[in-house]
Amino acid sequence: MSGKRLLHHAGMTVLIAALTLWTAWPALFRTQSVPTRFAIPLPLLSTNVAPRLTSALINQAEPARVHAASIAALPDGRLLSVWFGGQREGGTDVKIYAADYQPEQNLWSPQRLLATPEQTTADTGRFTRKLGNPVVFVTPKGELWVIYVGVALGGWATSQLNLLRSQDLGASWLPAKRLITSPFLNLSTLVKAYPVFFENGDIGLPVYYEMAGKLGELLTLTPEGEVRNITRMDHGARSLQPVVLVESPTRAIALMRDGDGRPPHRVWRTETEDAGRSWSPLVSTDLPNPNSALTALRLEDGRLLAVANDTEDERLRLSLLSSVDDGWSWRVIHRFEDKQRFLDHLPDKTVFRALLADDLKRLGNTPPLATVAQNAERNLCRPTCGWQYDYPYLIRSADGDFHLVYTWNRSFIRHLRFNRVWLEEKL
Amino acid sequence: MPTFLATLSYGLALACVFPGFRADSRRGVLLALPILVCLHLPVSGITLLSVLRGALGDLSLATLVFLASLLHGREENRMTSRSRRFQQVSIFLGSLFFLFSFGYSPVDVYAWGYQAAALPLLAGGLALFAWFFGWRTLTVALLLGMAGWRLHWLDSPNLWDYLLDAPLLVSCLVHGLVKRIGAFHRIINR
Repeated sequence: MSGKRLLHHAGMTVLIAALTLWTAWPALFRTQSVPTRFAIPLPLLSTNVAPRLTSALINQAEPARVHAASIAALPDGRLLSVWFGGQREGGTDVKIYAADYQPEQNLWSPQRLLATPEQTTADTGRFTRKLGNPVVFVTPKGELWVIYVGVALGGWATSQLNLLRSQDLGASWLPAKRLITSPFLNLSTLVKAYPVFFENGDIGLPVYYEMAGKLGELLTLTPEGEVRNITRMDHGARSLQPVVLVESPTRAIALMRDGDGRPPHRVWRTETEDAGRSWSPLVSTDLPNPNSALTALRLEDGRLLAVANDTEDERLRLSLLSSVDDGWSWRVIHRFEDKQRFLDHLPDKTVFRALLADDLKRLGNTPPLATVAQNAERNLCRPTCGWQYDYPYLIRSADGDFHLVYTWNRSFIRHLRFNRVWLEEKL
Repeated sequence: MPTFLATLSYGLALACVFPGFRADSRRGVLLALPILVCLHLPVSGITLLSVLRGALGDLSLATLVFLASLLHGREENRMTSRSRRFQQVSIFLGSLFFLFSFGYSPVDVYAWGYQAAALPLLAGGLALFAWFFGWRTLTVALLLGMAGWRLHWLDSPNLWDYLLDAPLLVSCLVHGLVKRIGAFHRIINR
């Protein structure tokens, strides 16, 4: 080998070594902040003394089909709910809507548009054909974020996540940003549940993958909205839509929708002892699940609350449940909706209309009842009519009250507000 | 930077399949400019680039290097042995990687690309190995990918997204398959 050639090789070796060291440096010497501890939510004390459960419909009658609501308590006392709506789920006319709630007046504002496929395409520079599940929350830095699903081609399995940030609690929004979360064409990351926070300010968002496998994941984002990493909570094709319940700075459990087609259909449970960096193998709980989303909260005394379709088949029933053994076993304490008795003989339109009239009386402030009934019939009757109550999302506001939103018969987003006194009566 | 790199890589990818390029690379270079412009031309408010980025994501920097190498090879009207070696390594590593990424295995290879030191060290080792074996395209692809990741040139924070992508794997597989079929036909017709 000539001297010149040797020098050439030596120079290249040094260059490669230097570049490799520079690339590996942040991980080798821990110069980046890695989240190692969960932030524990502050205890909330209910100020109300009389038991209370109120109901309202949040959205207007148009668009006729809505789904996947989430809700966040804002620092100024308001609540903000977001959901998607269009003529049909998965349609290209589906948009993300939002409305505010004033707790003192117990009143929802008119709905307003938050995101469209066209605006998402323009903001991200990446074509988005349709929109799906949005999740809204306030970050530890006080920003309001909405993370929502977008699809360019194909069905929900090819979803991608977009992030909308507001630094003034929703008065104005920064352009949407696409999150890169998956190796295969950045496909198949969806969101459903509220986030957990870390002591370093990072945000842990439970997400899920459902293209080849079906599994829950924890997506960690920096306070600036950059992806830090994504950790699998399972492998295989059985779990979806995790809800993470933090117990201590390092320990949490997660409950997941049963995406496995095989019986028994039960909610899955896993736990972490290292703040979400690793998760135990999935074990099934005793809570039935008809492959539908659930929501859950941890109370100050360690008891867990869940709202779920506690059946193995359809979504005809939506129940409030509690667990005193960290989510292994569950007891029904209240039924918000229950049409399970019609499972084997769904009614035709005439019978359905009569039954619906009873339900409408309990809904609270609503659009004209004829419109509510018309939307429900349009979305549920073909030709027999099957009720559907699903996609619950439960949070607590600063006054200690509980706020539950869910899809009411594919047509409306129902908001139920209850206080601790009402809950204790049920417990 | 991500938009610029996406324009460049999708522009080169389209130029590679454009017939004029194969016949005359100089004419092809002249055609590359309109292709880059076309990527940004809005039709009903949507650009071709946004459709490609929405459907396929951003191409890796390794793919950019491979496409540039392919175009360079076309000047000699053949695929260079360096590009071929890159193709073989891409097929091998890509197949393994994507097999693990679909969620069926407890091993999450994609997670190694976030902050672990192992993947940059492995990529550096492979770059050194490739250099001493004379696989220049692979060396440049790895080094550019690593530098790009550290400088955050793409939207992804994951090193894998700078080194590999599904379109690269699929195109390598299809190209390799077409070559094999061509060679088989030549043997049959001999």
